[in-house]
Amino acid sequence: MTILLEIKGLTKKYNAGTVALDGIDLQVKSKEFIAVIGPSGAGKSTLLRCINRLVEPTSGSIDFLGQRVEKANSRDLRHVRSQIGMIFQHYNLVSRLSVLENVLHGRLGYMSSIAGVFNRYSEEDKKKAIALLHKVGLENEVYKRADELSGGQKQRVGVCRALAQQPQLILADEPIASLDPKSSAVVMDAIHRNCTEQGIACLVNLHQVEVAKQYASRIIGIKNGKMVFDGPPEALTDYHAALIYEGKESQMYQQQVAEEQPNPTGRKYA
Amino acid sequence: MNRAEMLARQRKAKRLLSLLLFVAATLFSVWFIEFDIMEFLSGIPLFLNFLFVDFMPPNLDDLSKYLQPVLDTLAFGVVATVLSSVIALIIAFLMAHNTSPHPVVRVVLRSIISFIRNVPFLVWAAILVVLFGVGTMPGIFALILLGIGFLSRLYAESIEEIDKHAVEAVEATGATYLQKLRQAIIPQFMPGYISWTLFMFEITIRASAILGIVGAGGIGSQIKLTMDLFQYSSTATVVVIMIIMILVVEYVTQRIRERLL
Ligand SMILES: Nc1ncnc2c1ncn2[C@@H]1O[C@H](COP(=O)(O)OP(=O)(O)OP(=O)(O)O)[C@@H](O)[C@H]1O
Ligand SMILES: [Mg+2]
Repeated sequence: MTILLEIKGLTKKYNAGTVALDGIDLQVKSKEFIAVIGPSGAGKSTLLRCINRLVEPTSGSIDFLGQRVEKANSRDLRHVRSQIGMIFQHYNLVSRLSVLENVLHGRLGYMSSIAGVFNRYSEEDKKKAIALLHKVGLENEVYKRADELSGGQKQRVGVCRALAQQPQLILADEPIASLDPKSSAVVMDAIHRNCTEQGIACLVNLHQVEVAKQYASRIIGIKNGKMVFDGPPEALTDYHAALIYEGKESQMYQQQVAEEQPNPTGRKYA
Repeated sequence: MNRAEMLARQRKAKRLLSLLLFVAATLFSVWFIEFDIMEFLSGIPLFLNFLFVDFMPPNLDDLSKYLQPVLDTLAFGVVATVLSSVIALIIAFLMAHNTSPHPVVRVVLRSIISFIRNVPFLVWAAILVVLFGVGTMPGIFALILLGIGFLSRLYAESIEEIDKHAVEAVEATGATYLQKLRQAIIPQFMPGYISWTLFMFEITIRASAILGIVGAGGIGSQIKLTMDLFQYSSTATVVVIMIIMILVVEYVTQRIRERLL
């Protein structure tokens, strides 16, 4: 198996002074399906977003198929990004465009700027995009506007957009955190099945240890910006899980039920 | 006394102070400009008399004479709105912080636009009349400047308000700057673009009525012309025509808005 991604000493300090990542070393081989777990604020999203530089790393190196991502100029960065699909917690679809158009966005990185501006997608791209939508059960939604779909359907569109890139790697940042259990299973299955079939490696952030164990070929635990676990799912015992989530046990098995509670002490005086 | 109560009191005191300052400023200004309340009050009947006796009835004999200026005004409005919306669109993309290519570009454009907007419209019109002479050109240019100042800022604000997550997703596919604009930003900006542009058209029509007064052409010039000739009943006709025109434009733009959004 070839090494797809090699991260060394990756550190990210946000302007506010938060150290979100603190010296992460990580190797991803092709076809690996890696779940990244850790408590809220551990740095999971930051890790994924540094890989395609939606967030600028502070220091360390990121090597993707021989290309140094952190040093890439904008053209090289676009090339890297075109080979890395991304799936978001809130789907991040362009709501006023059709489902098909959203999926076709996955092809932009392979087209000339002008062709992309004028929607000159090839017939083949369109056929493949529609085929992907069929495959995830959205054959009746192809021409609907993205904002007419349910959450689970939107996320499947998000998955198709990532797959349309025919990527080497997919980054999925909490793809099921906003979905009900049934849609969650559909979406996770779609991601897992397609990655396996097409030999795509995947890094997926998950809140739920159970889900991670069910799908992943390897699990990474992150806490306070450091990697505290790296091994096969069998090796992740309750002991490890407890360690990773120490002090934040409530987040371990279930996703947070309610959205963050407003801070009661932050109440304004009237 | 607890903290909440203290804050409430402070707020009350502040409000009272603001009110006192406002009253003082008004009294001072009245004194300063030697505003004569008696003259103002005695002027009211004079004004009403002028409006309802001298202006009435509107002279409908030469209605056809006003067709040309009405069409002129509408054409001004269309030309000025289209041109200013195109120019403002480009400026807005360069100026909005989520699409601006460089912070320097942003700051420079912002200052220019703010300057254009802060010079009153009639001042622009007057300057342009001096530059281009009396006629339609200064009118159109003034309307374009008004449009650029107004639309650039509103477009930029609409662009800044759009959902950045979708934009990020498109960027993550390896899209170029132009692809990002076209595929993620423009579709989301469309409703804002359409409604502000239609609104601008309404403003332009109203403004072009005023433009005639500084000699910049359009239906407004008929007001000045008829008044200068003391043909007040004709002036009344023009005013009525203008009101009808504005109402029609408002109605039409409203319908377009409903259809498109
Ligand atoms: N844009 C930002 N600016 C400043 N600090 C940030 C920013 N984004 C994240 N952080 C901080 O960096 C740390 C890691 O955040 P990150 O979003 O990577 O965590 P996470 O593991 O994805 O958490 P969650 O499970 O809640 O999504 C947190 O302390 C967070 O407050
Ligand atoms: Mg996160």
